[in-house]
Amino acid sequence: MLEELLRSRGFSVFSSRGSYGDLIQGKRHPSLKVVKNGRRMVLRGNYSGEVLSANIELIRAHLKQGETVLLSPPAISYSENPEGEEINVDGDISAAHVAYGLSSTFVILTDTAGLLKYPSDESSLIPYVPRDRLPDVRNSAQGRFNQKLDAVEIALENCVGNVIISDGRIVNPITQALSGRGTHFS
Amino acid sequence: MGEHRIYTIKIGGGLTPYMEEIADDLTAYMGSGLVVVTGGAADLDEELIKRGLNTGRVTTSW
Repeated sequence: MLEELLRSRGFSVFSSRGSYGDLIQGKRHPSLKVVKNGRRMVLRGNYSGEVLSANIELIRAHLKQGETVLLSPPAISYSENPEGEEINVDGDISAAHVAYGLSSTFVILTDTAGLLKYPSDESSLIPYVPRDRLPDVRNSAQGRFNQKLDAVEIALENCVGNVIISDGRIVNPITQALSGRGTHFS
Repeated sequence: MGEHRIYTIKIGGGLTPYMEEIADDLTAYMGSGLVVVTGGAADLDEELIKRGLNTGRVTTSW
């Protein structure tokens, strides 16, 4: 969908799964511990895992050719199968490894105003978080937002400027994020 | 001209209805180094969905 939208606007696009060319490498978790109906269970034959690295050399090669690089899950894992197998990985963490490797500006667009003090109250946006306060704001983060904060931590190690989590539901969401909207981390 | 800046933009899976607006905004960054990473549901094909790879998000109970 996004690929077509970008091409129709004149972009030259390299679109790929993260598994192609080891663009996103991960480690499969062959079993997963879950709680279902109050019972702890182990799900086997699972195809999800954690991100280990991004193939920055290949991404840079496409950027040098003037292409916009469009990546989506899955990643590739060699941990259980030496020939490699596709696994589902978290997109925020994948993006953070890319941003880290490229030393890029990093913006996470989401369907909230940013990091909220009270998750059900969009007016409780936390506009700025210095790196040393990240452990404190984790108390405000629920569920998948903790993954986003993990991504922020990874990216802050090597990104240019602030790392930003901002609202993707608005007009010009990236430009507005870079102009101060959302939650900025540094 | 300023330095050649690189942007990594992550687009959450819940933003599918807003892709037109996001694509419009991305045009402002055409010519920069631009990497866009989409969430689970945005660009997966049917084959992967059938194989259970599209869980929408990854369980993190580890």
